[in-house]
Amino acid sequence: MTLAHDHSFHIGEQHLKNGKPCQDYADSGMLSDSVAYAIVSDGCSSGGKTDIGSRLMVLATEQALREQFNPVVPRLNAIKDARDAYLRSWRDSLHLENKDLLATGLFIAADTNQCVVSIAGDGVLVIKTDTHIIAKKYEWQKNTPFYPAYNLVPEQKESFASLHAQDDKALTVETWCIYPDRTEQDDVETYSVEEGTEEIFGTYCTDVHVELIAVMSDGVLQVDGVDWKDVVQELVAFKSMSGQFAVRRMNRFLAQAKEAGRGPIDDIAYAVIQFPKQKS
Amino acid sequence: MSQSDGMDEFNIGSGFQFSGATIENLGASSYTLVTIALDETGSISGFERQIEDMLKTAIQACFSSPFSNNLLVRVIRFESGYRSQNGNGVDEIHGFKPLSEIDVTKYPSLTGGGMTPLYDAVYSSVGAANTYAKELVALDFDVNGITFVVTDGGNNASVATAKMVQEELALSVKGEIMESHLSILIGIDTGFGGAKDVLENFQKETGMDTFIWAGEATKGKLAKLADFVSQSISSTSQAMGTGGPSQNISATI
Repeated sequence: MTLAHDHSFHIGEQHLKNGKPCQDYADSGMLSDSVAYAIVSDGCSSGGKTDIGSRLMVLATEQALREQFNPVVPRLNAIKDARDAYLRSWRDSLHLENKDLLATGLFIAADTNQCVVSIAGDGVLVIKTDTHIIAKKYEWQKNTPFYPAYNLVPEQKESFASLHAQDDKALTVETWCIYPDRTEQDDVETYSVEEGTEEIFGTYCTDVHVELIAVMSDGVLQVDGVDWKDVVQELVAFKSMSGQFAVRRMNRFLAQAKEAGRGPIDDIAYAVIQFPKQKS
Repeated sequence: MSQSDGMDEFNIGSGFQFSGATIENLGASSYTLVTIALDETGSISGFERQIEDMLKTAIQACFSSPFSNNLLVRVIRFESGYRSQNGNGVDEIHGFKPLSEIDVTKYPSLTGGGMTPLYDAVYSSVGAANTYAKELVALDFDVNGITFVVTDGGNNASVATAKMVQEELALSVKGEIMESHLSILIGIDTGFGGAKDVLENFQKETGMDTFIWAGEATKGKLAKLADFVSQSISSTSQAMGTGGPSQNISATI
């Protein structure tokens, strides 16, 4: 049975009103007949041309996954190194500056047995099971997330580390469980700046109970008048697994959000892998 | 629903059916449902080729629209002779199909005959759009619609009633199924005196949005009609997302 995948991104009110482009980007696809990928990147608003940077981040990650991903032994360091090599090469050939590449990088690679997740920067990881939704919110202190492009310039990486030197909890990850009738905070993890810059990596078993897994930009935290957990719940309430299911869901959600308030303040993006219903 | 060649069968009710592309196979996130209903009654005899050309030209022109990938088109013909095979006066040339899958060279020839089941034509057109739109909207598709009914005379042989037509039309605009729906009755002159007045009354009686009198069914006039149809379709698909129908559709041809 084939995995279903889709992605969607949309400009937020701030950028729309200020004549700026959408700095979020997302993509999804198949690495092979049985392995799907989903990638999201959010460009730094105060960086350079980070609308381009977020796109290059996604494309570099995709290329790195195609070359390096192994479902049996996922080698995150090899994937990161390949991604960073592409970013460096494209930065130089396009005569960009490193500040143009300041964008987060969240990806999932999955088959029907397990999925591999990597989070560089901030955003939300969502796992939906047949009973509830698990939402993990990654937030950096001082609203200053790690960007993989810092790896390309050691001085920038050191400067970033210094910025968080006094933060013993540079990166906080809140895990929430969203049930049909209630929401509970399940866990809070904290990471030092050193751990955060190594990128948060995890593997999850995609057993019969897992319906989908998604990565989302932190734009989901800033939808006017809507709690982020409700945003997450709405965005993964897919009516089908076919075609542009994520685009349709995002469009419908945004239309409803704009009736209730101003809609997304920040750019918003997500990428999803859905698992076919499996026999238990 | 039964499946055949990527199309599914749907029921409108009252013995009326239609077909539409299997929704799971649709690739876009929003669609304009276009319906073109053509009079094939006895009074159009001698004008069949011009009407066929009008249809093919209108459909072919839609391929150059920037929104061509967001069009699902249904073409039906109507005359009372179809009642014996279909239970009503409508015959579906093809159901709601992505524009890219339509080959206008495969359209059947029209052969004028029988009386005019105009209520059946409008009921089938709008009822099918409402029914299919409901299925699409339930799966998060954004949908709007435009329906053209081309005829040279008033109703005199329908299974559907005026009330049924009124209800489906009301549902298409107030039922909050489609983002918007425009129903256009187009009258052509094939020599039947008084058709214009009859059709104007039909439009008012049923609640169709617009009546347009295209004039004599000449090659030139029908070419203009084809242009009007394709431009209206393009305007409607551009209006998707605005919450209302296109403001750019002309009231005349």
